[in-house]
Amino acid sequence: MFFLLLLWICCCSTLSAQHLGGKVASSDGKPLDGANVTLVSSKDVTLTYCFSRKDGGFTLSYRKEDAPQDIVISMVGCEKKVVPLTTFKNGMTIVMKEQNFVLKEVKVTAHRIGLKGDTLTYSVAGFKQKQDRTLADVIAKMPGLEVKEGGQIEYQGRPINRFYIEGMDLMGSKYAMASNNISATKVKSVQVLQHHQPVKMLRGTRFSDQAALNIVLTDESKGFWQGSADIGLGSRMDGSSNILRNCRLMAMRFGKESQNVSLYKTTNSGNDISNEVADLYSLRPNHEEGKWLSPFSVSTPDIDSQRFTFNNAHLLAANQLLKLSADKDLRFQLNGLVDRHRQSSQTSTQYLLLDGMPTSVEEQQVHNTVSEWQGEMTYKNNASYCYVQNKLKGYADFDRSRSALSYNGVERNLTATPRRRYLTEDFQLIRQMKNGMDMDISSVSTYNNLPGSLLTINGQREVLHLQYFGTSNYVKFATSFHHFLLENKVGLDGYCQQMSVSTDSLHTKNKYRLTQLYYFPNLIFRTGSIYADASIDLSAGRQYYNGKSQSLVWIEPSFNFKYTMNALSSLSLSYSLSQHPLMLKELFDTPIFTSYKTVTAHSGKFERRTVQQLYLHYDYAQPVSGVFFNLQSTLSRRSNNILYASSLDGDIYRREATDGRYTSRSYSLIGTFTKSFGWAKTLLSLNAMCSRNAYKMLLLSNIDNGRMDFLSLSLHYSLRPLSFLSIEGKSSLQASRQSNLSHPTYSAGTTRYYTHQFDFNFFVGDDWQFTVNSELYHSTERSISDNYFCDLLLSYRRSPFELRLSLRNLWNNASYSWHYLSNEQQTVTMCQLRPQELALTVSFDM
Amino acid sequence: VLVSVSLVAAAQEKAKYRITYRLDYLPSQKDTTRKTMNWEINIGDSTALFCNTEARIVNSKIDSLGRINVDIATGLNYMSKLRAMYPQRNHLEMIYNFKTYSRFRVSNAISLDVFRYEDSIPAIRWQLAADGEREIMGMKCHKAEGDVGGRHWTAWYSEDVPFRLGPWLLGGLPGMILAAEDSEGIFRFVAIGTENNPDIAVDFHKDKSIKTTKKKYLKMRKEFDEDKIGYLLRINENKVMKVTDAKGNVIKHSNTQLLNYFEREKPSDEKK
Repeated sequence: MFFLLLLWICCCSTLSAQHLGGKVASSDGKPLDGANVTLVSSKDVTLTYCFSRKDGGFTLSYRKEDAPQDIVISMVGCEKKVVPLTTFKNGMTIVMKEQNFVLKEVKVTAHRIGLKGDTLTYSVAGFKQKQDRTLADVIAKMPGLEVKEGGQIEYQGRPINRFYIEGMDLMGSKYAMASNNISATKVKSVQVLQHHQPVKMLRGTRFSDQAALNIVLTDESKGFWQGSADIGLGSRMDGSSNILRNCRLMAMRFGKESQNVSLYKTTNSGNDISNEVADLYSLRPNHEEGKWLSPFSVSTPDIDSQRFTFNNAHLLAANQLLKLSADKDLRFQLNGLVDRHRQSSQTSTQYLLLDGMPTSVEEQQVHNTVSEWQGEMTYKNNASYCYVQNKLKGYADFDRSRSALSYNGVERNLTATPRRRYLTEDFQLIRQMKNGMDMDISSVSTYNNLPGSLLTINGQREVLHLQYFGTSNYVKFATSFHHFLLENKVGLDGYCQQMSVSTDSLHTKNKYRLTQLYYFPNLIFRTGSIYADASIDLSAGRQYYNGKSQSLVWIEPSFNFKYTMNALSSLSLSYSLSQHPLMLKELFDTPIFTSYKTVTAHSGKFERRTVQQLYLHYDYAQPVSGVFFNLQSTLSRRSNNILYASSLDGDIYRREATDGRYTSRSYSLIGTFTKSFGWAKTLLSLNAMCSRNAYKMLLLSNIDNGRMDFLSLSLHYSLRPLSFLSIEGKSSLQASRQSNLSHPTYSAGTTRYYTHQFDFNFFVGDDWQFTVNSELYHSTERSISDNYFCDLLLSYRRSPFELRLSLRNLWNNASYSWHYLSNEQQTVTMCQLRPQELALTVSFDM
Repeated sequence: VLVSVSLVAAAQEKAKYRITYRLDYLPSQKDTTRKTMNWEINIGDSTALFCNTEARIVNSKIDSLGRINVDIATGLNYMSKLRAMYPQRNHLEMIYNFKTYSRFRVSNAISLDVFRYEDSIPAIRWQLAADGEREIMGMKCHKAEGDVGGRHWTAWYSEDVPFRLGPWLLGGLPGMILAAEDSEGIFRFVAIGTENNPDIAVDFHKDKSIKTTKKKYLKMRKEFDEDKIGYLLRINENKVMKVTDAKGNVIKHSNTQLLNYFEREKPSDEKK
């Protein structure tokens, strides 16, 4: 009994609560209120806790069998203190040492797209995948934005109208050079300035449908000279002794007072570097005339041009912008491109408009030399009360082209010098007058000189010399009342065009002149959600062609309507009717060779082609959830089109105007849906396009109804599902069908092309990257075999260096065949491809 | 006067730390689709503000718009864009003094009015768990369970952040609560970010709110949830107001919405 009582007393003493009490004080002895006091076991388990009271006192209760080990005191602003229970005595004061508390920062994955006013800001870090090198690579992954093949950037299906770097327009329309060469690591964010009106004093009154891009650089990339260099050397694996090269030297400076981007590139690896100095937008009419004579060319397949281009190119470009004051700047742009390239192909052409649809077979090896030089100087004063712009631009090329041709079994050597030179002066002044009206004075004049010569398929030499002068001048006054703005524009345009053609048997000169006086009233209505404008261009003019003259009057109405349905979507509709008289290029009646085997002659009669166009655009953007959608539809009707009679005269294809006229109609529908996901930085983009063109054609003296249908579907995707794997790809279907509705037996039928591209990027640590790039092309055409390409890339990156070893065309595919269909002919072409190539590139970024 | 000045000074306390939580929740008792929204706690020297991140962003953007001259149409257009861009907003704001840890203030909107009231911070009897440790944002967290606001919560707190705070009224543990979920799985908080010196005052966004009591506030909220249109017509009875549907038919009542709130209503108040 005594034993049981003793055992009970022992148990009670063991299970009963134990108490600890003490005080917490600061180093200067003041009691600390609200400190966390915890009692932890030997296994680091918190047994109990309390908070110190106002007087710093605390009491902890625990059970002895929990085996407490330490008292831990923590508090913001003090160093954590651990007091072993063995050294603690009840009533003891624990003194805390002061220490600043800083949270270990963890960045919240912020919304990758922000909105302020009309500006969308895309965070580069939020969209950049590890394999991305350039700014264009990252822009292509931003929902709502699209980088087209030539480098043109579109926002919601519309091309951008400005490309600013830190708010300055350094690149003008040649922005591909910046987007393709500025490293993504130098850029903090990309801003989309929606509805961007470049002229400050017109902001808020004149609407713009287009957006501009502003590139915001990282702080480390501003204010000093930086450079980057790539030195790439390689070899073809077919035993050729040619050394491959792909080199780039780039210097740039982005300061507050000035900006500069200068570049030298050279390559013989098939890269098309001419895109980088191409004009990607033109907002004002400039009268710059395209070439009439084209260099010899082989038709090119819709695959990566690097696979079939054999080139030797050098590009030198410099862009300098000087900020003269807050609103004034002066910009110089100079660039030169020398590119010698060759292409080989075998083409079988079936002429759909000729009796019996004859077929020709040609084998061609083309050597083209492009040597073009451009310079531009622009002064701009973009103040809030006044806008002045003066641009002087000059261009000259010294292109040469030769072709070794085997046509229907007969061999010929052909040459051509299709050259083009022009000088443009563009001036605009807008200022506010004392009575509150805006006055806009504008003058654009271009002189074009296009000398050219051509050795044709029948051995004749044709010398074609064109001189074109065009000028557009107007004065415009604008006044506003209530929600309306009325613009009154009076202008005088002039065109003076001369063409001289000399062959062994023919010497002719064609002259055309047009003087046009017009009055253009435009009424604009604007409220919070509606924008509308309506205008009528009333023109009177007199035209001359080879001694004949005619006076004419024509009217061109147009209207635009935009309805902002809600904060996320808008709908716009526009209509225009144009009936400008046909000028020399579509008027001359002297049969001339426009290519080595095509002779063209127009009617020589004064006429106008009427084009009516209705355009509908719907867009939806929810930037925070990364959803962008746009739908565009165009309906156009072209009346008074000339019917051409086609014939094959020996080897020469003749197109001559007849007295027949017809109306054509075309419809197109384009839609893009893009969604970005936070998970794995995933981007999905679905594009669909369908079009129909209904026309008439002259076949065997009958006027037949023809129709071209085209459908394109594509899906782009990019994601990084695992830390070591990133996937990018595109799959597309393109289908085209040509139908002769009057005589279905003459229809060319349907072709379908499928393209699949996918890149798998594997990463090991931060430095290594291994990429497998695959492309698969296949078609429903039985005559065309499937093509599969594979390239490999191994890269080692340690800032500021990168070493890349690439093996292109792993399967060593030698040729590529494809089928092309147009209104007049269908062709099956086979072109030679670049062989397997191995290259090593070292890159420096300074 | 001195008391007022000191209160204002306390209210204007600048936040030194911010902890952001992602809340994964079931908005309605009828709905099975979960949503996410971000909440944050901004901590100053002695007070902390718990608020919704998107509502805070929208409010600051609208405030900054007020500092520059924009016309009314542009301003309204921008505001509607902002509201469409940040749909996961909630107007609940709570301020507590974590030194005294006795009372808290709440500000929240019903319809277009913003109300505020005060209440006592509930003393939660947390049961510390010996196991169930978890790592959140690289910080070791211990598990504890307790009841508050009619729900049973499991929380994970980290002694590395020595605040006795957490999302909503969850607090009173010897470290910051970095994750919490209720036993029915309706609400799941998890910390996703931390920041030092966020540029924000520890104060309600709207200082001109209507003072009320918790009881009155809950009654009004219940009325609003049960019949939004009826509530609107009732509080605007001195104005000429008519609510119609798309076809022009006059509507006087709307359906009851059974929303999930952090604090579950007492069983006696529950809707049948």
